[in-house]
Amino acid sequence: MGALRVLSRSIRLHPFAAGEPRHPLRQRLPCRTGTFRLSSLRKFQTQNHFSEGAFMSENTSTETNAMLDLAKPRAIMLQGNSKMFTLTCRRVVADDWVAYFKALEYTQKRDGRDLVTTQDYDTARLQLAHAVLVFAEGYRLPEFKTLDAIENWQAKLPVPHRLGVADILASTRAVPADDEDALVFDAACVTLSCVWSALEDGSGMESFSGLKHYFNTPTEEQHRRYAREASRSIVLGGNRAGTTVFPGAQAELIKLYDQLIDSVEGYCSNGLKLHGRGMIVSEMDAHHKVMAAQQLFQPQQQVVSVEAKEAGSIE
Amino acid sequence: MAQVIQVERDQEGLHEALVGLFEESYQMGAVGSALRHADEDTRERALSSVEPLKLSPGYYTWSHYLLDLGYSIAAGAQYSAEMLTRADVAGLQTLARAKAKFESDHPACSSCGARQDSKLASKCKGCGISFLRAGS
Repeated sequence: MGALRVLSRSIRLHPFAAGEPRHPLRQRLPCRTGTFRLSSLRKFQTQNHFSEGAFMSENTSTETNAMLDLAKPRAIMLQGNSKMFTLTCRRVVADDWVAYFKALEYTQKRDGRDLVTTQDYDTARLQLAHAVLVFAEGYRLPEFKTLDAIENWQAKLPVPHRLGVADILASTRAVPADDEDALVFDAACVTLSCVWSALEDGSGMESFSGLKHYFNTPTEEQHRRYAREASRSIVLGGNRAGTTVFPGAQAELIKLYDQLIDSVEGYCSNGLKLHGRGMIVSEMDAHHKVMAAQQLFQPQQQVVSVEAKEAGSIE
Repeated sequence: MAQVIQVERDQEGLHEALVGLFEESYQMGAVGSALRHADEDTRERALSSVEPLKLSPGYYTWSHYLLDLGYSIAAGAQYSAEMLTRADVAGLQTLARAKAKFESDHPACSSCGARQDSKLASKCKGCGISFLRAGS
């Protein structure tokens, strides 16, 4: 199998994408030799599964002026050396995202003066892809068999393909606010971008930027709730040598989003523009909710990890 | 089976973590001011002599949360009973205990306010004034 390209990467992805749990008070996350490193794993997979290193391509998505239709099934195109694969996902509902966020693993352990950080996002991503994939095209099937006749076919897809799908599903990013947004009175505006689905003509993936979320100003009580959830942890194996597991605050961020959202721009559902809090709360993708609310409560998280910088995946 | 500790409920661990943070801050401050004009290597070496934090990182994350809550209350932020959880209140009590222990271990000079390395110090490390002891 040749090099794989996900035809969607107009924005650069990094390991702390997608609302993964982050240390709430320290923006720089130490990463030492010997810990699991996502970037290393990506390189490993790339080298082992594909002849070339170009796992992700950039600038292969097309930005349109259309609104993002949240109800549309998502088709994700991956390109091998000479072959195109299309993987179709059903709508990713809130429960899928909650399960995904729960499965993200972020732990820290003390080693003398150093902190050893361990993170595993791939397990969560593989689970997410497995749960939502409903069809796959471009793969050679056993003779006289259809995809449906193959039991648990999702698990038989190559791991990098499933990870590629999940990377697109979780491709939402916050983009810096423009000057106009700073003038919104008594509200906060967060702008997101994402890669969503294949273009109708199959020529590539469609990306969206300028997806705006207008929030009412959070109260101190809401800030406190977020800080509390983000600071919670359990320790496994004793309070000194034990490992701290941070469960993350994404579930709380979803609740806070639902309480604070006022209006959005750039979204529709089945062609109907999202309007009114009720419709936004029920229709908005939970990953977008988390990414937008996270910016509201921790805008300084533009700062990304040392590891992401090392991987060269951040501009 | 591995021991599972819910950090916000382990008040003894949090007490140790908070005292550790106060001590670290105190020692860092002392080293920083003593070596203000020293070269980078000397400062690095001196800072590495500061006693490291010992507990699992989650204790310090929750401790920072408690410190932030404590400072907010001290600054005049009003929190109703519904806004605070039992873990918040128990944590604030632990914070008060840890602060009292630190202040007892490092009493402030009544003349200049500088904290002393030990409660047994005979003269102030800030202004040099001699401390009178009961019975002396």
